[in-house]
Amino acid sequence: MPLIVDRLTKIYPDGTRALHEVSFTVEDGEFVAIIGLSRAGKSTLLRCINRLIEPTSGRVIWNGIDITAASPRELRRIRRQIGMIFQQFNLVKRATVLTNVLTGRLGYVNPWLSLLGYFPPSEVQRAMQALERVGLADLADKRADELSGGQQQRVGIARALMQEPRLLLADEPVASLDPVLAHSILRYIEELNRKDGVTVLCSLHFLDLVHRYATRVIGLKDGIKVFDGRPDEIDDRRFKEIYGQEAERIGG
Amino acid sequence: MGLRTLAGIWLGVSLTLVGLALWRGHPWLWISVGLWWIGTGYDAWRRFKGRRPRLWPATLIALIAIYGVGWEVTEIHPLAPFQRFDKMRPYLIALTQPDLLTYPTERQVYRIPVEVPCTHPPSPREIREEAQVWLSADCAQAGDLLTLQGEGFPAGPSLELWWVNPIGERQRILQEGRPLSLQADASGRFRTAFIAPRAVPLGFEPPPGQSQTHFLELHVVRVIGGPRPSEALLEVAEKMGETVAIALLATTFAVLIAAPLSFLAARNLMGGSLPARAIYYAMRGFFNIVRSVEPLIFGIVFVVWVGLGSFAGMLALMVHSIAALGKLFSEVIEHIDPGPVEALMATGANRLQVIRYAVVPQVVPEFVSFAVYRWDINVRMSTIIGFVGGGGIGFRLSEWIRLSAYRQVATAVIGIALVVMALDYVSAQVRRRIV
Repeated sequence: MPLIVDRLTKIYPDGTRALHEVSFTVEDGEFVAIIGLSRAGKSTLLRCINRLIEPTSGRVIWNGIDITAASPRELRRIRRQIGMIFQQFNLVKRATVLTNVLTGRLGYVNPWLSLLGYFPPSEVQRAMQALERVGLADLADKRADELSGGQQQRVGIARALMQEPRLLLADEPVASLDPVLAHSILRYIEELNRKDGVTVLCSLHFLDLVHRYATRVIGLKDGIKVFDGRPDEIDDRRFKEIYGQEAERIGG
Repeated sequence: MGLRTLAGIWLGVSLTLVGLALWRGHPWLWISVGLWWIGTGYDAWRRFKGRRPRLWPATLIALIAIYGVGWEVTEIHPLAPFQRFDKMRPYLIALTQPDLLTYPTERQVYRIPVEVPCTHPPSPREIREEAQVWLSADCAQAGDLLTLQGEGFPAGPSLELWWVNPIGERQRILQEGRPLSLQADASGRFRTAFIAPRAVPLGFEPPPGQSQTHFLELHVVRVIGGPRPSEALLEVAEKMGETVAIALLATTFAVLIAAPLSFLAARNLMGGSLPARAIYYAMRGFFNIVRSVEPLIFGIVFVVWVGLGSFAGMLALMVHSIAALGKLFSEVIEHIDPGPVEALMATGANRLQVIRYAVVPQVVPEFVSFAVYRWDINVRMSTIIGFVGGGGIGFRLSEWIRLSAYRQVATAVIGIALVVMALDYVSAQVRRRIV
């Protein structure tokens, strides 16, 4: 079941046009990299898909359901199947690693019991398995802010795993990490994509990472889609179209 | 500064000065208005000519006028603290000798009848019991100088003189404004002069030509047993406990009410829909208005409403604290990291779950810190809430001040200082550890 983005437009209250009539279709199992300069609209695009930001116009259809028209209740049911990881990890710093992972399950568990801080043993077990998968099982009882940046992002991935997502939105997942850690994080995302068949939409800065992991690239410039194709199709001319005339290629 | 700002300042200061001149009616204030206009006109002319602005002469004139009036209406009298030092002296002296301990005593009393006023020529009167006492006259009027001497008294115990009027009211005999206290010498004798006090109760004056029987009492005061806490000390201790308890309950209730309300007054949580915005502004307004009313004023209101006592004081502090804490709490919530909120919304969590898991963990330590600080403030406030009848130490302290009970006042002041300092320290430690 594809993800259809149809003429998606977002204009902020201050008049900034972050997205303009962006349309594309993503098939199940794709790993789509979204590239572009800062402020090109990458974050806005990802957040419009799960409506953390309300689009101004256009539609997002996933699994045949119009997300943009969903009621708050329906929207929560859709969101719980869409994992999301963030540039700043967005963990609750004072909570334990385990609690942070369990919060990924909030859309599924009994809401009243969860308000009391109760999660069924089966969910705790699921959280431990998710932590094992990202190699952090032994840190479950640590406070999130005691972990390194790379470890925190792995907790973020474990939290997304709890949702058993069919779609993963990753907003610059490695941009605040040491470049040498980028691959370790992206490999977990790649594994999710390859082994679990999760569709991935991931905004990235470095072209070499795009070449290494993505099966498809969407380029944004000033909120307009300027490129949509395979990574190896990005030649110098296309590169300048996406990043502007002054940009120079480094690496990849 | 832009021209608009300058014009605004000029207008504001001009109106202020004219207002002051109208209010106080001094000619020199009108002169200052004129000088202000000349000074600012001069500055404007310099600007017009392209020279550097020079506003300080006009500013100086305005400041002199404003502070001059301020000085006058505040009735500043710099010498008063020195000239009237004698009013303060008893309190300062009392601070060095607060009423802390008492010694249990046993009194042996000699009663000497005195006729007031004299209806016959006075003659000395003698009382013989274990020891002997002579009073120089068996009748007197208020203001007469009398002498008392004794023989056969033990040398250790102190001797006190009391005057008892016909309806049994007792007052201590004073000498130069202080209670008279003496001791027998080694041979068991003493001799003292004193002035008969005015002691006829209102409405009990004897008919002309008749007299009433008063008594002079000589108390031999023997100390039996060691020191005990004085009544004042026990009372201060008990009332301080009450004070701390008032503050504790007021703070606790205030936290329980303010914490949930503060979420409704946090801009970042109450965005979106119109009703949410309306609730946000209503809560904000409520907090700001209530916060601006001093607890003492609420104290007066609640004393009328629920009656004198600690409950009124507690309610007054609670209401003020709800507003003060609600505002602080909502600001804490507004300054949280929005990242976790976004992340949990993305997982499909509902609004309450997002608050429980993304907001609450971020704000609890600061909530606790502010609550402890508020308790600290409330202890200080609750020491004076009693002045308006709100219970605690303040009630008793205001009474003692009215009665000029200096040593008891000193005991209370010292008690308050110690407790407030101790709680200040505890609260600082708790807050240091939490944040």
